Amino acid sequence: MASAFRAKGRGAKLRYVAGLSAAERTAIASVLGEVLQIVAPQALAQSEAPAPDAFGSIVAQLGPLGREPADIDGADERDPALDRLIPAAFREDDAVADEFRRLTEFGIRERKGQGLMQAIAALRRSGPFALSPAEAARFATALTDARLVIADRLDITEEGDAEALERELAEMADPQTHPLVHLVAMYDFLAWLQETLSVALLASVHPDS
Amino acid sequence: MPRPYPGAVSLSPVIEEVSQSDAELAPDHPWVTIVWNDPVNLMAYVSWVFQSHFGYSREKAESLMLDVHHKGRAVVSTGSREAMEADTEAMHGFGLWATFRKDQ
Repeated sequence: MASAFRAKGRGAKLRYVAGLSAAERTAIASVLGEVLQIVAPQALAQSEAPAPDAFGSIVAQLGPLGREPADIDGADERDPALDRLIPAAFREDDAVADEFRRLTEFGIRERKGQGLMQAIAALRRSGPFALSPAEAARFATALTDARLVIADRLDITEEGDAEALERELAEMADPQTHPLVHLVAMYDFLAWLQETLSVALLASVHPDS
Repeated sequence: MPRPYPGAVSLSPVIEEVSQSDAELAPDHPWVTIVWNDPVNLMAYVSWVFQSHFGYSREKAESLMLDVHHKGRAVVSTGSREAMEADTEAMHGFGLWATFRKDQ
């Protein structure tokens, strides 16, 4: 059973530590690998893509996850989850929003891709799961990116949608037969993990206040 | 203000051409960055982003986060168009739904 993130040590020795089993670390790394395929510009994703596994194939059944990442300029292949990750920045004029996207999207996706790869590498390290402050900050954002992509696949678009999905599963006689059960479980697990990491990070932003 | 992405390119000159008239009508008018509520981002994470990116106090970050949560959006920064574009890009980097616009 996983245990929450908490801060350990002070100053240069500060680490954010969570108790995750080998299976949990592998499962999270697998999801982040799937997200990497969508988010990162093509070259980056191909060079570091982890091999798909059982969870990856579950996710792949639900949508375009797991296929070749879209060319950064290939509008036909654009994954809808990208509009969740990088929404239109200017609502008063589509031309301004499009220009902003053209100028910023590649860099944002490259940085998200690097953050995801660093998170995957940290999950694959041996020993206790302990992150430096810089790694912990990137890990929190990688978890956000993963949850935004899963939310797109689960069609969570409004406040309360996730809870409604959980209620639907809870009322089923055999929830394991629901096609989304594993994805909902992963979404909940990542939310819990991110919540505990965010609370731990918050406590050390202004340690004296 | 700390910038998590020092490699970010200044976008202002190119975008000014698209909506030049706005900029010329009110060259000193401040622009704003707005963060919108979404069903995915967690309250603690949003508070942390506002503190770590903008350097806001715990109280200010929490108050802005609660505005996003309860009112649907909050103005999180004010300044030049170039600075608001940089903040919007940074918020997108954190996975928050952010837009910029001229203050009204």
